[in-house]
Amino acid sequence: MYRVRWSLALLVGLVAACSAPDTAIAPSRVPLAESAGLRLWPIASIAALILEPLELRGLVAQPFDVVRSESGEQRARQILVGVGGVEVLRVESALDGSLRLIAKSGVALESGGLSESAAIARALRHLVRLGLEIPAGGPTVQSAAGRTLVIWTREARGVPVPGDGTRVVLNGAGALVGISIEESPLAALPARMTRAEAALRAAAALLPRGASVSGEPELVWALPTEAFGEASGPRTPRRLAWCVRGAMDDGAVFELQLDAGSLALLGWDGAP
Amino acid sequence: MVGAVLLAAAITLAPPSDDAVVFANRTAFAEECTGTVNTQPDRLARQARTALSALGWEVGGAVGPTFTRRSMLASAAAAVLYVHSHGDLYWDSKSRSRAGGFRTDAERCLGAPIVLPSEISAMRRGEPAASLVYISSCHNGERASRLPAAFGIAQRKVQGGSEPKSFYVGYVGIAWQGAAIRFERAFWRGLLDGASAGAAFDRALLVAYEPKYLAPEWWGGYGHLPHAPAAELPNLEGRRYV
Repeated sequence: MYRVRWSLALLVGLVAACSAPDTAIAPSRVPLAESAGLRLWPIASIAALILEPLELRGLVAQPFDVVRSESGEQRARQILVGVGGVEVLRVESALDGSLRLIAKSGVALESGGLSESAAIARALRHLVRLGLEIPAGGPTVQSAAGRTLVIWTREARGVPVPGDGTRVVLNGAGALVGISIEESPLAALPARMTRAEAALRAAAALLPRGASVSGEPELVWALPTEAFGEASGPRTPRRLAWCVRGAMDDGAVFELQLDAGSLALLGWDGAP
Repeated sequence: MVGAVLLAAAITLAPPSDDAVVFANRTAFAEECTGTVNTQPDRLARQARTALSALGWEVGGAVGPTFTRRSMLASAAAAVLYVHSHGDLYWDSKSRSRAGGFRTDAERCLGAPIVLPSEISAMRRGEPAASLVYISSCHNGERASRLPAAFGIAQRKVQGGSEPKSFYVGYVGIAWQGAAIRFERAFWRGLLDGASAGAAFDRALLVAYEPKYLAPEWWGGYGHLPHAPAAELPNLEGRRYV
């Protein structure tokens, strides 16, 4: 069933791609950025593709600046403001020019829901319209507070990189709220891999009395968290890790991430 | 008699409604209780305190063992409230139904006292709706929670027209701390960037948190700017967004 939905969505996406105007954005001139050695996609071109003609009236581009993103990456930020200095559109690019974020402001809250296949089709259409790469694999679709999130999680060597990948956020009518593209640095693979059973034993030894692990450990690319003596920040390379889940004796769930080579504890997460 | 004295003390300790309070449960997530070092409650509280302070609020509250039922209820009338702790739908004997709520720290791994919506409502009687309430716990973004109503915030989303001057954020289902740190950091950053609460929430949906670990929800006015009444808006060089 899912495969049928995904195929349908891909078909709709391809149709959208064929019918999209021939205005896919390519990196081009942003004079100030160019003088700083950066080659950015001009925000005005992006605005022309994703805003309605009436919304474009009176918009002014602010001088670009360089900021650090939530994920710690240095980015060139461009902002379009409208009447009264109200921000309308924000675009962030990596310093090599790759697009990282498009965020529209004040997108209407529309009631009604998108089906999973309709959401995927809309997301593909927005990506194609902007000339962005269609990520590999099937996306997951989630709802949050009246918005729909279509997410292609990045995989490296067949292992998921949680939080990385392409995310398209839509309103209830399928209009674009934003697109983000994340790509964290990854560490080299460990010289020797441990087995899942060894990870389970190592995790069990770390737990307090009454807590227990459950299910099979899964491999993920995990960000070492600062509590464990790592020189950790958002741009610290992610390491291949065994993710072991379990529950405390009051039922609260937890997750341990153990280095896939050394079984050293890389991170802990819990659910309050 | 003791109860009356404690209640009087609590009312005396209650901050004026222009204040913000940040509470976080540290003990239940500490090494003694979980077996591993966990600094996440402190990080979440620090993010909230820093942002609220920059928005012009006088920030009080408690992180760790001083986050008790008494200290929390004494601050329930604050205009802005942030809580990070265990949350669930608990049995409320006063309303004879299940309602949202959260545990305090009280220096206990398990079974710390619970704060319920009916108790918050009682402490807030006569107060206007809170400006911003952020309950960073499991389940308190669900309709059944009733915590928003305790702070005078209706469970509806309003954008444009006469929006309520209040905003509530909570999480639906199980909420993981790692994802909450990323989402909340982006939300606070959006507010400091001049965004309205609804726009900051939208911006946070775009950051790299893992949605299967977090389902955020909001109610209130999309365009509400939760700055302290006396505060000047951040200098955005003429720019802000809704």
